Amino acid sequence: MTTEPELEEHLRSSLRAELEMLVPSDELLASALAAPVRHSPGPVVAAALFVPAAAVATVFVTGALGGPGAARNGPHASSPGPDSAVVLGHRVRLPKGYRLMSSSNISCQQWHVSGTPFAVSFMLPQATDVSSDLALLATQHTWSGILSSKEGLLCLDSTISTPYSLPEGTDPTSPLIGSNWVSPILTTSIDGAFAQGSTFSATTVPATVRSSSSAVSGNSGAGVSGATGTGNAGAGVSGASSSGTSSSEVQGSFLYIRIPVGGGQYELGKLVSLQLTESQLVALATQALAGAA
Amino acid sequence: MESTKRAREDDESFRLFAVEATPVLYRAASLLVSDRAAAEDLVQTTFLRVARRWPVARKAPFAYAKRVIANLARDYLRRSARRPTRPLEHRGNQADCDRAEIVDFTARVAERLEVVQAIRELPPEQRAVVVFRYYLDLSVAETAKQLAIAEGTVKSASSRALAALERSLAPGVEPDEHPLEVSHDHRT
Repeated sequence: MTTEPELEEHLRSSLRAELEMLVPSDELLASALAAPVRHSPGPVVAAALFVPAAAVATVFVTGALGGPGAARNGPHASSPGPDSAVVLGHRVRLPKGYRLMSSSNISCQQWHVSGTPFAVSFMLPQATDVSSDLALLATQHTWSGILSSKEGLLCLDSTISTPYSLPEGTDPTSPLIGSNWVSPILTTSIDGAFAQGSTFSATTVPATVRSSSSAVSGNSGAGVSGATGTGNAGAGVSGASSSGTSSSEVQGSFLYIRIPVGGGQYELGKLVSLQLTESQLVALATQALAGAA
Repeated sequence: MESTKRAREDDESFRLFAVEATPVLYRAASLLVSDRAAAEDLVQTTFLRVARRWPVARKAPFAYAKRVIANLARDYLRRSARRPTRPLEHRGNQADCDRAEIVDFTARVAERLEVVQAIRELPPEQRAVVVFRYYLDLSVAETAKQLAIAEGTVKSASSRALAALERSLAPGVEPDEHPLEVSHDHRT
């Protein structure tokens, strides 16, 4: 015979476990984020209602990426989500205030940065299209949905190529080290890097990110920090701006790196993110590859 | 300047709340209503109302949102109460049921979710009580208040729902053959 408290407990735990499979659509989350907020008329009381670590509660800490707490703890739980993500094939700690979301909650995996070639290359001394270079190589691709207490939702795309060799007779000096990037990544094996802020058409990014981003830029009057890139943007990537974004654009950043792996071979890495700055991408890459130095 | 800062804090705190609460409210709504569009409508309306009252709601946004969605669900369930509900006893022959009756949004998922499916087959009042009590974790008193019913009704509906769920979820037992075995040795 089953007692009622036992049934209740079983029901609670079963419900939590089963309901984890029901995931709201991006559109629903976007509509929630887009709800017009009435602002407080007076001094804010208890302004720190949402502490980053607590704000990103367990609802996103599920599935393969999450710990075991979410389903059991339920909606009131406050344990933080994972503060790490896989970048360039290595697990790295995310910037303070950022948490990894479950892969099932947003559609960053559907986000493809297309039509944004760079007129630079680490593969060959002469300027060619890095995107094409990467396309020629087998790559390991990882995307992450990340939640920030300040910027909201964002996507992080990480790609690392298989090793390749430079054509015979090619100067192995990276054509970009020190030219477009002023902070050599000394603690890693990276021997060439190029970073640039950019803007993405809102129609190419996930609805959740689009909504979140437009809320940020719309309310603060300025997006994330502007670009430090040079004038290489003529091939489809608009030059970055620190003056904020229009409603049809979402700010983001690129980072391309070259990594010597020995035997005259190199790997190409690419990080692309919505809302993260170039320096944040560099910090992530540095952390990811520090152990490989 | 101060008002701009306050506004930004309001926007940021609401956005964080929305991100955190959307899955919870959506899952609750998906138990309460019968199709995806209705569930999403409940959630969207909830966020609109919470956002509209954010200066007040931000002090306890989850509690506020639960009250809102409870009110919305109550109205929805009242309207839907006129519509026939498939009784639990039909569960044993579900394969023979008209597949068109299996609603769209959770159809693919919920077919694999026994408890969710069983809850969705409860009568509306029992279903609401189960969701509020065992998923949204409202007390008996809070559930009664939100559903505008007596606390005794909440308790009896809970007991009946638990019994029905146990009967429905018992492996290999036809509902009609399974005796009511819930022991009422404890009440909340």
